[in-house]
Amino acid sequence: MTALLAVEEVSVRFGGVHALRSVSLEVAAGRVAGLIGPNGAGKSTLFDVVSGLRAPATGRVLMDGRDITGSSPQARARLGMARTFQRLELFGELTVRQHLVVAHRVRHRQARLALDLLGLGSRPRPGEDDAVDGVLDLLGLGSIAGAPARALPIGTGRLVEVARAVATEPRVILLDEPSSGLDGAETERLAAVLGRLRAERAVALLLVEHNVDLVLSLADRVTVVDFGAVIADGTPDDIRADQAVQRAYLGAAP
Amino acid sequence: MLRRTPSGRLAVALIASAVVLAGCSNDKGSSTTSASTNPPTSVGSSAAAAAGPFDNLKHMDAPNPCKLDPGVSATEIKVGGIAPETGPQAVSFKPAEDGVKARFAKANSENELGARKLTYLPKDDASDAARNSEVARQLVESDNVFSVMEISDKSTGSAQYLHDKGIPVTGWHVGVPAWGQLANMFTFRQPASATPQSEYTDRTVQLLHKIGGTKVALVAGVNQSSVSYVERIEKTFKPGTGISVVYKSTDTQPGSTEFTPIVQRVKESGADTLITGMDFLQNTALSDQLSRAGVKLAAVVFPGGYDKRVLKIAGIEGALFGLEFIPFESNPPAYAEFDKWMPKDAARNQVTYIGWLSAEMLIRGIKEAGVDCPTRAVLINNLRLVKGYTGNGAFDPIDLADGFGHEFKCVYYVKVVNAAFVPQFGGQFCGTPVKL
Amino acid sequence: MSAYLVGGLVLGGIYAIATVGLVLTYRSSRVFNFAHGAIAYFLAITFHWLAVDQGWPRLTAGLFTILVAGPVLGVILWAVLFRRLAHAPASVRLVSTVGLWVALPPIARVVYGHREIFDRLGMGPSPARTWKITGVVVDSNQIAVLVSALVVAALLAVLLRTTAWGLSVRATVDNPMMAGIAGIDTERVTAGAWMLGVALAGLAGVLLAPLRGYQDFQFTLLVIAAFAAVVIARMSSLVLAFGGSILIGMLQSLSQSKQAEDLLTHILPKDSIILKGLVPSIPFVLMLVFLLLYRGLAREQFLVDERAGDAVPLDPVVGDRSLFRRLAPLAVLLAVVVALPYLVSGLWQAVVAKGLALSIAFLSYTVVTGEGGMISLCQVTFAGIAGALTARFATGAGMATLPAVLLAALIVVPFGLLVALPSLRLGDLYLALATLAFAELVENMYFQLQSVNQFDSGVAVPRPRIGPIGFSGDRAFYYLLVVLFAVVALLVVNVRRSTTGLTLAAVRSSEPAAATLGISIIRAKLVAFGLSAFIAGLGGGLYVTYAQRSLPYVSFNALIGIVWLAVVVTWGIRSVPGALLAGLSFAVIPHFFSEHFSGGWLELPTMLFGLGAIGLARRPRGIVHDVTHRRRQRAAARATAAKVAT
Repeated sequence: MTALLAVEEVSVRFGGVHALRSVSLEVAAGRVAGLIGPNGAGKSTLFDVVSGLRAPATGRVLMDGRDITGSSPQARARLGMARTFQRLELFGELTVRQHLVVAHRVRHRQARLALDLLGLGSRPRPGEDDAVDGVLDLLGLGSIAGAPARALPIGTGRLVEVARAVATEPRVILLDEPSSGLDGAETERLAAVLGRLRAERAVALLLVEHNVDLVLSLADRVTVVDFGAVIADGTPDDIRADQAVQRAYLGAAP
Repeated sequence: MLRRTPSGRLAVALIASAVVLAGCSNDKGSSTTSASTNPPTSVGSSAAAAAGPFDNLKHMDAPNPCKLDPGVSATEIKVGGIAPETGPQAVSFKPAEDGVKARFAKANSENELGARKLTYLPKDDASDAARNSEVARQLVESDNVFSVMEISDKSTGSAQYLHDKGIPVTGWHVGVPAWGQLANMFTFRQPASATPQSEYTDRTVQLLHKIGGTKVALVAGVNQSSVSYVERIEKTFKPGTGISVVYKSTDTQPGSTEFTPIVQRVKESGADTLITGMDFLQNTALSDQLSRAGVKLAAVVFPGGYDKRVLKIAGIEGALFGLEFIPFESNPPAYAEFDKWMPKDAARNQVTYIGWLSAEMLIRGIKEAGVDCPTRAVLINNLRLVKGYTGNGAFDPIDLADGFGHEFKCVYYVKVVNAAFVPQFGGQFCGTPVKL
Repeated sequence: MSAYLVGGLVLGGIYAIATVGLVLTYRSSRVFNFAHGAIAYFLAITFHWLAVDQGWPRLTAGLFTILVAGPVLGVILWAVLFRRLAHAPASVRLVSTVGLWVALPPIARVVYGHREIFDRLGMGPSPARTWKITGVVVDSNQIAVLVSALVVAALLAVLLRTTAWGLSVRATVDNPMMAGIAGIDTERVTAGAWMLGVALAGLAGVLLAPLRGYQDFQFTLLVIAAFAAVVIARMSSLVLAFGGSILIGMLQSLSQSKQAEDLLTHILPKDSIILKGLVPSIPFVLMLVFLLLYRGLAREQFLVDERAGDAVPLDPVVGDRSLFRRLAPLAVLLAVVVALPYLVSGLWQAVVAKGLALSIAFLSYTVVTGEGGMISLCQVTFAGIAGALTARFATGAGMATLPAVLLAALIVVPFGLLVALPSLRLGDLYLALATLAFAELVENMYFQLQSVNQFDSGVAVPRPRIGPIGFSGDRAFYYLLVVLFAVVALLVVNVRRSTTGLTLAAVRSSEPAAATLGISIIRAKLVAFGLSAFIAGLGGGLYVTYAQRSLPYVSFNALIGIVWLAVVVTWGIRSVPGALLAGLSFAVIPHFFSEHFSGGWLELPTMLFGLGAIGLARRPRGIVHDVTHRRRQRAAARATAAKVAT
């Protein structure tokens, strides 16, 4: 069965530095794939390649078996890809609710200038309110739906980014270090949300994380990168036991 | 949605009140009119070409009992002025204000207008037609001046407005056609025929025949008064005159004196005559660069720039300057007075003298209207009737009604000989009107 | 032919001196100094004051200006203004230098006490001495330019390659962050680069004055042409800057030769406006050509450079504010605007009508910059084109005035899209430069057409009639404009609150996030640009209807557009009341000054507008926002923090 999302031998170079070296991984539909590795290992760069913000020097990105390496980020969004960012990329002056509204509307291709000029373009589509409320509930953001995003603390901001991604009704979400900057309670909340996403909405997740425990607990499959190359790939148990991973990532085995 | 948002509500309120107020303010028929009456004859913007638009004009008496116009009080007559005081054209116009002030000083000192003293309010139009228009409105509606002196190349900006308000205007035409089309405008040499397509004077052709020029290079600035000046001259070089235009440039930006390409082209064209229409700094710079490049010209004709400072420029020897008044070097009576009343350090040149003469004309107009009760309508009427007007000894007599709408035929020429201006041809040099 | 070569080298030499200073300061501080020409003017006036008013020997005055006054001015400008800007958003940097461009010439005239200088004194002898070299006559002013350009080139080459300072400049220019890490005092280096850059501007100014005189627009026009060379240099290569400058100068000079004219008249009809407007347009054509050529390269470079900071920081669309608090100031403004014609007399009614027409044009900035996050320097051009078309339709074709205005505004839109489409991917700065080039091209080619310019008196435009109601009275026309302003404002507000507005807000805040969400950045910006062109066109058409005359060369030239931007930015580029106040103040303040003051005082309004835009660096949201929203924002933030904490 073809994977929902596949990365094939992708390499990226910055000048003389190899940020990514022939990296390959797969995300199956409805499954969680984890990507871990030390800082500077190239994880965010990989995300940029997968989401279309950067072209790889070599390699391909495939979705449903089709080559999307040359597709724009917008085209990939239409195919059902969404992502969050390691450095929060919220729409500062929009409220939380408006983030979801704009995501929903873009998904359903609602942007007609003529109507907008006449003041009719701010009317919600049928079903929009329900969809947006649903996502707010899922992420527990209902109480701050009216707050401007720039006023939010970082933990809540991360949840808003996830909510925004979910609101596009994607088939796969790329999550770039979502637990970064979160305390213990917030991380648990996040883990619960991600679990629900996978369970209730059958959304595939590609999860890049620093927090190894979080990844190992959620993921069906884990890939480990170091210095831009894959050094291990397998189930969480495999990875826990892998010597190379322990050496590279965790230091010498305790 | 419209009504639910606050801005929407405000916008609706705004529109509603505006519509109501607009309804109250719209013009139903005639709107604001000025206090003074319109001049008795108005040639209008599409002037009649036939001779004698003023044939039926008769001398008018001052109103009795006296009813004064705005700008005139028992002790004062306010006169507005419009000239480019800033911008690249300022060098050619601003000094005129000194001439006006000098003439006013003389009039005030010698009580020429009885108990009333002249007050001068010069304003800047920065050689911009829109500004010219705004400033004219300011003078008439805010400052309430009696009359306006226009010494600007953009007087079209306000010409119609001042005409419609019945404001007497004196000043320097600078080639703007309105001076020969609107009856309230007075200048001592009309710039252009009311119908330039069919009537003009061949003066330049005759001049060139006299001095021996046959191949002409025309160099003008990119601004329209400059271009139309040279193009009018170009039109007179019809086949049969033996004169041809071998090079024409109308691209020079205002103020620019980079003539290297033009000098080269003039040289290559084999021209023996140069006629220019730019400001005097540019004209003289061009002639200077031409002579340095070794270009030999039989004649160089300048429309302006008659100023002693020009004599120091190396290549100026032999240049011809066309003047609208008797050259200073011929000692006309008007010049003696001008020299006496100008401040010691002020320049005595074409521009300041024209300021003086424009003021002179206005003062004559006020006298014609009656010093006891000068009014706009009577001034415009009576001044037009003046025959044998010499600007108090500045030029050969002209009829202000006669010359109206016809391009002036006669010009005074001086030539630079041994670093001095020498009047040529023993008086004014006249062409003949030619019909197409 | 060699005369043209010399002419081209001289022109190219001055461009080169200006361009090199511009590139240096840009690369070391990331501030593109739009005020470079104004600085050159300021220093030229300084030189003139020293030489003429203070009686210094001219060479001494010149050297002092270039070697002392220039660097001192450079260091002051850097310390007071440019240093702050380094960390400001790209559009704030742009607009602040535009503000300096507007403010500096009036400041120069007031400080040195002359409103106009009519002579053309330079450092060299006057009148200039001439020599004949290989059959070509050159004068001392031209030689001065050639020699200076060579000296500057040699000096920079030596300085940058062989000295330690030069090395640190090159490192900082290449990669400021790495240079800082490597221990280079980048602040010092940048200050030094500004001293040098401004000194070079001063040199260009002092060399230009004897050739073109002391009008401020000569200096700014020269430097705008030098922008083209900066683009050719890809904003970074000094060698390309030099080469590009010489190329432009050569092309401008050679295109005036007989051979070139013969060639062009074969291709183009005689008296074609392209012939007439060609020479001044060459730099801008080149700029656009190279912008398109460099598209691929520029994009990478720029998205990295310009990422720092968001777009123009703007007030939030919604907030926790009480309705009354939000409405009250707007209501006051509304009341004043409606009552205005009854509060003022005759001529002033015309002035405020003019102001309102401009306010409508200024709403285009609210859309393109406020919503779209783009800095456009050709809004004034759209207004001018629409104004000229309005006149043509209303007077030439006998169309009713208001439909003519509408049609003209619609026609402008495809031009706006044409300008925007290739330039949008290039980033803020290149887009601004492209719009400036477009503005200059239209000014040189279209606005000077005889049919449009009509001997500098323009084309008449009749006031409209709606049924039995005529609007030739200024007061009635004013109220018509109030209605139209409200309608356009309503459009703007509707767009802001609609899906289009949301997507634009998203694009402004984060392009990567917007892109991965599925929002087409290009489409969103095109919509904003096209809509703003339409609104600017409406404003232009209504303005010429107010003035009853269309004269775009004077009313809508590129330099006026720069002042427009400064005024709108001062009042608030994202707020509708900001646009309203900007338009009214643009008309009212200068008129007030010209009625009650004379002489140097008349420079004050322009100066204030420029300073207002500079103040943007400290007050990014404009006066309107600061006055009405500061308190509310703090309250809103507190409320949100409280909610989130629970």
